[in-house]
Amino acid sequence: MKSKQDSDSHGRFAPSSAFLRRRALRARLMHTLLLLTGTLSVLVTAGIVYTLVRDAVPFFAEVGLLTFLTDTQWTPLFAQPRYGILPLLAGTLTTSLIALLVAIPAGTVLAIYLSEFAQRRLREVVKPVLELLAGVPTVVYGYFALLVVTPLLQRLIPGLPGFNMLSAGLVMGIMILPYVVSLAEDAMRAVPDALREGAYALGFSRLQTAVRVVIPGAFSGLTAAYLLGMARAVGETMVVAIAAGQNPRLTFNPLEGAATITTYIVQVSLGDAPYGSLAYRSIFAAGLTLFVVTLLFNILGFWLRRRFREVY
Amino acid sequence: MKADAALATTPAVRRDSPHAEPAAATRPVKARVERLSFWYGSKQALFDITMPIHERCVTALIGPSGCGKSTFLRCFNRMHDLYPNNRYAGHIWLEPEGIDIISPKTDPMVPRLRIGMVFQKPNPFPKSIYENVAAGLRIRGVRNRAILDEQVEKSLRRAALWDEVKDRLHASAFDLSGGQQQRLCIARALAPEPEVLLLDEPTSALDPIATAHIEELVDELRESYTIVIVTHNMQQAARVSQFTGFFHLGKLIEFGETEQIFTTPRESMTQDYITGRFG
Repeated sequence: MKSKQDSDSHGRFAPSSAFLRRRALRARLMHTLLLLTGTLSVLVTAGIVYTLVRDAVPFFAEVGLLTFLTDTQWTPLFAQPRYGILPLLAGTLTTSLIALLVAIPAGTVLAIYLSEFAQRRLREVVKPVLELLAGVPTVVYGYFALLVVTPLLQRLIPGLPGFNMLSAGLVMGIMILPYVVSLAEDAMRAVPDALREGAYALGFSRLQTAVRVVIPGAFSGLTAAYLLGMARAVGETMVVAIAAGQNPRLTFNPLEGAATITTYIVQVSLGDAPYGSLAYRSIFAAGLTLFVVTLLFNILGFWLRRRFREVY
Repeated sequence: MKADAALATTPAVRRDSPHAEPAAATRPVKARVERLSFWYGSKQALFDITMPIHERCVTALIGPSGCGKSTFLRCFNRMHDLYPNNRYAGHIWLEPEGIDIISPKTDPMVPRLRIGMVFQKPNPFPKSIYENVAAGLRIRGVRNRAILDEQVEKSLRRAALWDEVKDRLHASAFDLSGGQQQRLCIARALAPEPEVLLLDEPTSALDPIATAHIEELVDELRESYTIVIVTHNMQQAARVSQFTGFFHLGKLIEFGETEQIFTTPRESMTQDYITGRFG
């Protein structure tokens, strides 16, 4: 009787109730699976924050947040240690800024070229090659900076020390370039052809179309590309540890060497700071600082994207 | 000063009043299409088309989907150049100078700076309403704020959009509704005062009210512009145009005065199409 009702009330191809039950079950299963995956990534992030905070809190209890943020010396391994994050922060910001000054203009221009000017055949060769660059281990970039770029720079700038932030920053810029190009090019190609046609029909040249129509149209994706580059630069360790030196020094002068936050973390984790000591805990305070810096840039990017988002 | 020259190249002499319809033969010709063929790669899309585009008239292009009418329209401003492997043959002479628009020797910028286009789907730029309309003037080198303001207002008024947007000229163009966006695109095409306006099914995405707006507008615009309109809607062709070309499978089957095409078509295929027997 039941099956008769089913087929009569829902037409010739009415699904059986068993079929519908199976379908509902599958949907629920899928839903749970997706929820679990999502929760897992949130849990991992929470775990990382917890690890950082757990050891950073006793550190700040001893050193004091104000001292940490204002002291101009970072000498945790000295007999009379000082814990001012500013020198490390300056190193991180200076090297990252140099890297971005290389990667953002070069990356944007390259992306414009690939997306708006290059023949498809050329693009199909250049893009994978660029992405191959992203696969080079960072330690190789580090030695490239120290052994190739620094000597070259020393010829141009006499008296440049062997460890300097300029060389590290430049090479870091080259390192993040493929990411910026790849994402920026994707963002520009996602701009609908209808917009380009509108521009050309109005008499725009290729360059005018790229600069006045495609770039504003791709703004949100470009911001994401720059932010990823920024995040990579701020978190980069090997290049700066090898080429910029390991000496914490409060300076924004790219011609000097200085340690960054990441350099310090790697230096102390490899060294012999005893577990639970203040020096050991300082790693987590430094890590937390790095985390906050990245977070701030992400918030800025999020805000920019919302402010200038385009919907097609 | 170059910009002023560009603005001044609108057709010079008004030879006829649009309301007193003269016979077709006496209409001056704005463009002459001569034995035009076109290929997408190896696939031929247009076959040996010859027809005039009369000055300050509306020429409607009708025909079933895939008949080549949009392809034909896009030859006038060399839109096909944007994609690889497209090929033209024949000529489109742009009068009075007799420039061959599709000759490889002609810089596509030349026709594009003189011929405006409105597309099937509204495609405003990711800019403000004002900057969308001003865009064509800016790339022609117009910097003078007063001229820009004046031309933006004039174009928006002509596109019947001014009253709806005058208080938010600097809001994003994407805040507008679909019909408003399409009128914005018309205003954008009008602002540099092109000699010819190409309309590619401009009302296919619009509701009847916005469509009526745009049809009225087309009727007004023919006083000063030469208009070529592609349309699926035969009533629209009959309402707004003075000349009609009927396309089928890439060929121009029949061309003539609109009234003649719709009352006494010479070709049986035209007859069948306009009476709804196929297409």
